Amino acid sequence: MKMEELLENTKRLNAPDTLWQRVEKEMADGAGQVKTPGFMERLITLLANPKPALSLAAVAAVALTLTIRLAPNPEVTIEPIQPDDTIEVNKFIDETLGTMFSYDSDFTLISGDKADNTELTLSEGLDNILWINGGDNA
Amino acid sequence: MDDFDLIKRAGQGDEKAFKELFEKHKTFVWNVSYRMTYDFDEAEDIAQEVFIKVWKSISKFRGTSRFSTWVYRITVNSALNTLGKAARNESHFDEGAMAHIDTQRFMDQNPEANLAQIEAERILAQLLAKLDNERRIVIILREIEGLSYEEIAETTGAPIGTVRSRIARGRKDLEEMGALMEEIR
Repeated sequence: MKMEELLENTKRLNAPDTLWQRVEKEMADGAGQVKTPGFMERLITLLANPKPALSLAAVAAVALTLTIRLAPNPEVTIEPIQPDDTIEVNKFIDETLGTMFSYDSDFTLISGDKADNTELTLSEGLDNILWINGGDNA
Repeated sequence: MDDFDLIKRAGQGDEKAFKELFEKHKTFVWNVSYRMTYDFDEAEDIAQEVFIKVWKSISKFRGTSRFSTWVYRITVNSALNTLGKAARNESHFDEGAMAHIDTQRFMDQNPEANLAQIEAERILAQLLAKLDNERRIVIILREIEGLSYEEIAETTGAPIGTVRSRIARGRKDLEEMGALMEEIR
């Protein structure tokens, strides 16, 4: 018998009569249906059994909101810079950066310990640079 | 009453409506279950499991696919799961057992069957037993149950190209084995 012939002649078989009896019996024995809960049922379940993480997140959110709303807002007064302050600041910059960016006699940038022994301050160094550049341009 | 109403009523716990759905689909479920196992008791267990699963979850059926496709899918999964478990338990299913036809019970359930049909079933059982589960299921769905390639793809969850190649290879295997059986005779 050829394969095509075999498959074509194959008939669908009858299901046994006992099958429905078995299914019916199991249904009667408590094979209950799984019901899909409605919106209200899900809401009630959620409120009755809230998950700890969700509760904590909700409490934290409320606490944060209250803190932001109720906490006093300190007003910071910014005073304008006085002439004396400007002098102090300029002096500070001159002393600090002047030793860091000093030049030796060949106008090579030096720093660190060597810079400490150099008498050139930043302003003097700048004067020299300006003089050289001015000289070149001239 | 159409399937939609029956499904709705069955989902509300109406057993009479469910019985009607059972009657509509029992032949498919039985044929797939039986031809995947060729064991009456095992096939009855699978078919029962299928209908209980359908009963339990019918209220969740949303109609995104056809109801018949949904039932087919449950049937195929249940049959493959049973065969998968059997493969792990070697003392249970084996090719020899599957290829055996219980002639008396076959005749009891199909009184109109004649000897030629029983012989054809016996040969088919022996050939199907040689196929792996994936090829066997698609051959049964296509060649015996007459499902389209699209329906088989949806039922088995395999891409349609895979379904086509499994059917083609399954047919080729059956042809070769059939020819070999003829030669041996």
